[in-house]
Amino acid sequence: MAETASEGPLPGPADLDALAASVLTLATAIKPDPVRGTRDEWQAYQYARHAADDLASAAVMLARAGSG
Amino acid sequence: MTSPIPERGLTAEEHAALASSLAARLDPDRRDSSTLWLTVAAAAQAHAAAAAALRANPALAFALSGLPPCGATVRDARGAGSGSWCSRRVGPCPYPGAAHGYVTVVTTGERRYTPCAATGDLLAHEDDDHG
Repeated sequence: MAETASEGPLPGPADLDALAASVLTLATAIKPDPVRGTRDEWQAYQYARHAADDLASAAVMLARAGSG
Repeated sequence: MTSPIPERGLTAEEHAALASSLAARLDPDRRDSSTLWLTVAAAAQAHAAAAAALRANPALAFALSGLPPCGATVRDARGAGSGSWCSRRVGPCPYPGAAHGYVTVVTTGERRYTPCAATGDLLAHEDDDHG
């Protein structure tokens, strides 16, 4: 289980936004070659892209709802 | 206050489910430094963080559940009308210790929400004429 996030202070919108940016950077860095990319490489890229999108959306939701 | 309804994203539960699903792919016995393994681990932790953050925000409890936060003012877009009031249970109270909160109705097409405290359920009072 990925429950480590429950330790320590809860992330706020800025934290999630930064996390989204970080994951997007990761996705960009590992984007496979269109021709030579393996299935695993593409899968990893997709995981990162989706996670980045989801996190960015969560950051917006949190910011609009007010974090405090 | 008027609670802003955030753009619809994943709920805390959906984030948590994704975190669990991704974490389940991480076989500790096969841990390595492959890009895929590391990416799945990062995504799992990111989703877990998002779930924790969303769960901790009471305003999002409304936005994601469709129930208003106690004390909030909500708007109903169905239009104004008159008639008798009926009550219906709209769901369990999502706010622990929300004894004093209630939602006031406003504007067009009134819809009132009573405090959760009495029954543990959130009751909506709607104008019968609106069906």
